[in-house]
Amino acid sequence: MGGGSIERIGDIETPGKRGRLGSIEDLGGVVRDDGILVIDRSVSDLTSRRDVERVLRELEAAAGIVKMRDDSGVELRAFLGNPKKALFIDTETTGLAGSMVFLLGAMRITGDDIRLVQVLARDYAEERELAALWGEMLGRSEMLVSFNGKSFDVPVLRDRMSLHRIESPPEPPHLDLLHHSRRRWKGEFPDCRLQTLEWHVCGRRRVGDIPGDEIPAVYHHYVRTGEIEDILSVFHHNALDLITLVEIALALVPSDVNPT
Amino acid sequence: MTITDFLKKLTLDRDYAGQIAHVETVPGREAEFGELAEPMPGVLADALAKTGVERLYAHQVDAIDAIRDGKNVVVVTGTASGKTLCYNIPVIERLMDDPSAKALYLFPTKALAQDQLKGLLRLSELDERLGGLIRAGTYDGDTSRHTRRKLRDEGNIILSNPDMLHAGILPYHPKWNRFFKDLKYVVIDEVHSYRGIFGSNASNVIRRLRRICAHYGATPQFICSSATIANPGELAERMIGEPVRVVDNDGSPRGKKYFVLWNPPFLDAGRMERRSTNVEGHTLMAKLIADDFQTITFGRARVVAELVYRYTKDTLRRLRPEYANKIKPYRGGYLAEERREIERQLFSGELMGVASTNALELGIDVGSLDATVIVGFPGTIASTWQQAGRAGRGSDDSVVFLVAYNDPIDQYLMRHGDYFFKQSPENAVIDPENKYILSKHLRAAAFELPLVDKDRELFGEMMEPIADILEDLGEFNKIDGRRYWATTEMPSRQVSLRTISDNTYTILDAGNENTVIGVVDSISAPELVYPEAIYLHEGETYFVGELDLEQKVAYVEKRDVDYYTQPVLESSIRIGEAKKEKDWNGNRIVFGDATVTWVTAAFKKIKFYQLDSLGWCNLDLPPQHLETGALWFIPQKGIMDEVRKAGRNPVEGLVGIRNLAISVLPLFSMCDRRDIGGIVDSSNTGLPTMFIYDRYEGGLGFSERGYHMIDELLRGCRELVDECGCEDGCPSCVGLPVLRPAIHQDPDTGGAWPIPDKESARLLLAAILDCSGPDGN
Repeated sequence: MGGGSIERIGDIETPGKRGRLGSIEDLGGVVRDDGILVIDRSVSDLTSRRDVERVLRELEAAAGIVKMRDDSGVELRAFLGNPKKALFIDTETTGLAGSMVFLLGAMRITGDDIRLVQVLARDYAEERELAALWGEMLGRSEMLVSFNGKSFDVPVLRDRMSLHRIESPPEPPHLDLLHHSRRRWKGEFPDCRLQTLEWHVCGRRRVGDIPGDEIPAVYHHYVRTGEIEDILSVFHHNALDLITLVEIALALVPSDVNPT
Repeated sequence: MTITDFLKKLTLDRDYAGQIAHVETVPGREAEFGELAEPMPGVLADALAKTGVERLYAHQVDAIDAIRDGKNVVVVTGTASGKTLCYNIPVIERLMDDPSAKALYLFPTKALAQDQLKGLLRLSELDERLGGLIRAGTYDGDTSRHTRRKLRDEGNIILSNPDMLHAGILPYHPKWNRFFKDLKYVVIDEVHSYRGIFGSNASNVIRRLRRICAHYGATPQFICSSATIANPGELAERMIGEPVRVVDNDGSPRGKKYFVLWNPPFLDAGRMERRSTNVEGHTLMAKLIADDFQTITFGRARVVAELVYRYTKDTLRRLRPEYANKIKPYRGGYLAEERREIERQLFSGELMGVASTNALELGIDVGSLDATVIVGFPGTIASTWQQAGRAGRGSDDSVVFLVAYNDPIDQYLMRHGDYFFKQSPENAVIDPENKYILSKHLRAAAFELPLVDKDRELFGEMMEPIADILEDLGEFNKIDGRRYWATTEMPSRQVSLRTISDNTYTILDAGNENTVIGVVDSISAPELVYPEAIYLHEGETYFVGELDLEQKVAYVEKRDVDYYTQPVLESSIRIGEAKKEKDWNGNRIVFGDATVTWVTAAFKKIKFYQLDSLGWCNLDLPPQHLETGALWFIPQKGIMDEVRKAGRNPVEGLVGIRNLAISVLPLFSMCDRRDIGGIVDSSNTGLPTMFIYDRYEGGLGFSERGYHMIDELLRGCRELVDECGCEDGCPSCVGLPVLRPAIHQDPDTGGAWPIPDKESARLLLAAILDCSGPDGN
């Protein structure tokens, strides 16, 4: 199996309704003055401090490798050369093209931590603030990392900004791991979806995760009732997607020279 | 040879058997030119001059001046009067002034958009400055992904259709923000074709368009064009929801037009059967072409176009062999590129004739021809004039033949030579406020942008109550006074703007590596390509080996046979739950659910050139269903008996009332006659019953309105029949033209229903209405 030999983050169980993450407050969520809910926390809250430190070490090691090798793609090299500049993104929407974005997940590697910011529009009207916040994030970003974000997340966010008549800043270089994964693991796995790679590349399964196609209905239900339980599982789903992103990026580092 | 020489020659021919029932001479007129208030830019004027346009006609000048003045305009002039320039000139002028300006052209069909694109490109090729300015393209279901993005981002003239705007553009408006922000003109071409359900839907799409434009800060001007109908200004205003200036001073020159009503002669001494109309029509076409008159023939159905083509080709081989390969058939279902090629060849004069369906009735530019042969009354006055308008080159004389079928309507027209010419063309009615249609578009609108109070200005007073219901259903969610779409559905995908779906069957030539040779819409496919049918394609006979209903494919193979086939349709109605019932003057009136079912039960084989059936084969195809709303009316037995006692057939009277009601109900229900259907039967209720139903899945409230207004409806029927000056019934009263358009039926072979007895209908109506007191409700 390609992808080197880093020790993997183990299976992550989505907390149930009576699980340890029972409320937004427990997650450190803050409702801003303009309405949107922002949760800012360390990825170690979801996995462990050990996992985070290991990933950070791997990143550091990979940075050395790509200096020697140059067949790994411009964007991948740029990312590994300076991972702190990257903004990992993943959005949750209410359906296909033309529908709204209600949850934006953005992950960043800081000095000694991996921070995850998740932004929720608590109702349809708050999407505007979410889009505006995305505009600010985008303006400050030097690089984006995503899985299929070139064709989905970024254009959808661009459309939603346009709908809310928010000026869209220029878009920085974008490392779309889907494209790299397709090239790297072509034909090896049943498909190239994120969760397939998560299993085959990262060796990790999700337990109790909400299926992606149920997410839109969960959101509409939440807006109608204010019941938070199911939305918490969407937060978790989104967080897992982002954690997997960084692992896949590492797995893409050519394995033959990957030191342990 | 002149047209008059030709007509004289026809009557002197030894075959002539007195077919000419009437000749109406429509006088010609000189061109009337005008001068624009401000001349157009030199570049544009030069380019137009290269296309032969040195001066503008009066109506073009009026239209352009009004558009420059910021007015919404509808141009109502004849075929080939230069309507296109009325919008192309101001649009191009605007682009020269303001390079960021955008225009959206809407056409009722993809073919028209293609045709108009060609015209625009021709113009832009004439001058590189224009070429650099015009970035036009068609945006429809056939447009590739790559081209779509390019057009969205760079195009400044987008040619599309209302269906695409509805389902493929408006729901994705943020991608179009730059286009909408600078949208200055919306052109709605052939606005007269937007009537009934299609028009009511399209007018709501326009409301949604205006809302999205306003969101991005634009208020586009609307330019419509229309063929001659009774109410173009009213129609255009209802379509766009704003005042419209009507420009109808047609300044284009017209030659004299001889309009000939042609009745095929009797075959027998008993004067029952007439010679085949298709055969008569083709003879005229062949003779015209043999004498060098470029001719277009219109048939009511695809099979007619194919037959006339096949026969004409045969006859020309004898009369004028060098022309036998210079004619083509043209109809829906041919591949787009084949159609484009035929249009081009007709325009360039390479073709001497074309046998077409009404697919060429709309304004595709094929140039003007010398003669039109209309095989069978097309069903409306407006369509007949449209088709007739294809003949007439500048100020040259032209000729139109209307060849009658041996059916009651066509024969009536032949007997009353001046009836047709005294009739004004039909009204085009639309109802943007229809609550069923409105609610479908409010859902789509809420998906696009939340609905706010201000939107009432566009959608009207019904917006709030409908939105409240949608909120109760959980589809809308009101937050801070704004109504948001609150489900995972994509509302525009659930709405078809037309009664006919755009689902299609593909017709594959199994004898030639399964090449696609045509398409047919899925609703009527079982009437055209049923197993063992002979499918006519470019006049050739193809045998249908298999109809795959799952894959929506028909496999055909060329086979030389001397016959063609005709479907035998059976239709019926089954009533479901009654939703509202009342007793009215002792008669039972119900509104409820109904299922209309039809099936191709069998087919007949018909020898070419003959009308007789060679044989009959049963088919075992699954029936098709329409679940809809219907009104049913059960006259009390006593009334029926009274009519019978008077020596008349009361059921025939009920059929007459059904026909009248289909003409009258649209006045109350604001729909088109084609949007409703009617059946008289007694199998559902045990008594003779008249059913009127909505021809749209789920119903649109047309027959429901008839239920509530039954008194007004039947009084309207009585007024119509009483005021009609005919003796025993005519197409204007108890005899109704074409209940269901004969999509694939050759009218030559289908026994049309007789015009029901007028007196029975009158007696029945009198008995129903006169026993009602003032409280008779």
